[in-house]
Amino acid sequence: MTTNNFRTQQRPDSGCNDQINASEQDCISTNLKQNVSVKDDVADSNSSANSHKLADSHTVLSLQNVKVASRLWVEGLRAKKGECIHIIGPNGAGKSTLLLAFAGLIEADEGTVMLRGKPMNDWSLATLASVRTLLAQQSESGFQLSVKEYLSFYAPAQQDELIPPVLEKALEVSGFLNKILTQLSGGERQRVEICRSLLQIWPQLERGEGIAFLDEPLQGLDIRHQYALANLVKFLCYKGNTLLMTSHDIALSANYCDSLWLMQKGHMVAYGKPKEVATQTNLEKVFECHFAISKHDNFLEIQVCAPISLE
Amino acid sequence: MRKTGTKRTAVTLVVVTILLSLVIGVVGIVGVTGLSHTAAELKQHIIVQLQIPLILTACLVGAALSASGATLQVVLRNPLADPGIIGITSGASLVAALLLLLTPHWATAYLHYLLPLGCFIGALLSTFIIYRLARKLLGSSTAVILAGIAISTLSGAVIAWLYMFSDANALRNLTFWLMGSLYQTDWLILSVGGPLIASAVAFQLYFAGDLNKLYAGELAAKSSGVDVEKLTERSLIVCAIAVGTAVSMAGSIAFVGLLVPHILRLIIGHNNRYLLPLSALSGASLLTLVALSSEMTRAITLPVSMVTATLGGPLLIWALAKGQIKE
Repeated sequence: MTTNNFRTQQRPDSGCNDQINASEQDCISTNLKQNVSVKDDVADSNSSANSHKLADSHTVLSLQNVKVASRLWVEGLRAKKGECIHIIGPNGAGKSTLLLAFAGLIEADEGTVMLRGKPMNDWSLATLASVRTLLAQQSESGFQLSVKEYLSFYAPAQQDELIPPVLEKALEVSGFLNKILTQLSGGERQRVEICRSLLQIWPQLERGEGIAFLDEPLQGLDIRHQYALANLVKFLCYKGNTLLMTSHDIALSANYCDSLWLMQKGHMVAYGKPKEVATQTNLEKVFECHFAISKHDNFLEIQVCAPISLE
Repeated sequence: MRKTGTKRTAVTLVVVTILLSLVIGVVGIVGVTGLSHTAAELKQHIIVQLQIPLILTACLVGAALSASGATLQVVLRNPLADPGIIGITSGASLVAALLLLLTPHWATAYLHYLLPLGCFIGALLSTFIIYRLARKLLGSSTAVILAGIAISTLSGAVIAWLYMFSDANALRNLTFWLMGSLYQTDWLILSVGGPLIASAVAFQLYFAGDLNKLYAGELAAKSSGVDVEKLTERSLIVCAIAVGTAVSMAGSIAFVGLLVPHILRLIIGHNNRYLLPLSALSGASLLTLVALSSEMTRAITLPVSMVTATLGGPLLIWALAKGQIKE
């Protein structure tokens, strides 16, 4: 991680700690099998038969024909246990709305959202709270409470230490526990918010049964913490948790997810394995920029060549 | 660990201070009579019929205003919210003004009980209107504050018009009422108001855990299992009952609801499980001290708002400055 080479920074395995590397091999292989890629499913008839059923035992989240007030129209989507999903798309593409619908925090006008095989309407807000968590885009609070106090309101009661070591390693928040929330920088505040949202379901995440929706967690983070977070998200997924995050860093997301979902104007343009979704055609169509993409054995190098002209 | 130690010390210190001032207030008020050279029977009558109701009124009103202030600040996500700001007080004041200025002479005998009842209804009604208005507008916490200000302005205007058309005596009564007084209750009013305030404050304490989650914003709280709309609605109702009762017992009293929670937060932090009960206690002892001060100056009855605003203004400036400079 010390070199400035963009390529080495993007390697998903380069920044992983030992814990991650140990389980990486089998996780990657199982994840590849479970991938929502259509081509894979056609090739492997067994998995294809399973993965098209909504009540699949591996499916943690599913959504069918969902429509949310002129912001989101999605036909069918599934997230499997342990899947690490990054959602990309231009501003206003419906990424946040999709996360909110999955989290059960907005009601779909049409269609069904299922969480662990149970329709969203059958979940109570209280039980949902112990199973899934959501990081919303920054909310301002005028209260001058300390970070420690703030986090303690969301931390599980029966926990020895306020911040579990894994979270501390990636987010490094213990340095400003006694600082006042409103005096943190934007990135520090964001790290605290990520920590807060993950603490909410930490017992579940530790058991590998949690579901987390992170809406633009990379917002405001410095480059080191961006990759630390991407690693944390991946690590949590290796343990069996399901995480969905939105991002505007296509290069990072393409290399740190199991599935990449590409959205535009409320529709899902493409989803599946990153190298099949993050193609030049797809990206140029959706983002209206020119991209240069080169595939290497283990990672995708994606660069924006020509942005929108101002004339 | 040391940090929680200091916090515990701070909480203990605050509790001791509060209880001490409460005791000073009570002993002082009763002592003033106890030491005077009046007949024992008369002394007993003064203590039972005047001073114990005075102390109870001070405690109840102070607790209701401070706890409601603390709750409203969190619910509306605005550290400077005050029971007055969401128009509870203004609705009550409007009804009080109407009653004081328009009641025909033959009915003035009933005014003693008519006034609290009317104020209570006025407070609940204005909260209801504000909440409905806010829901129609935006459904957000800012909308509640905006609607509150609108209703306050409107009722202020009506009161100003009433001023124009009323006689000097009624005007004096109204001015006095608007500045607050702890001497208007008797055992009958207390026996109705006491349980109302006690249960309303108890409900607020029950909401403390959910209120803590609201610091992270509406969406985060909802994601962690708090039904934010329901909590907002219930908190507003409960605060309207507490403040409405307080206002109908003692008139409009400024600043207590804003000041007490604000200063307490600087000392003991933002955890509502401590903040709400301690706010209630501090408010109770603060108003008891105010009652003591007005008992000591027997010759004139000090309007409560005058005292609380005189004490509160500088204290609030200090608290604001401290909050800004801190760390």
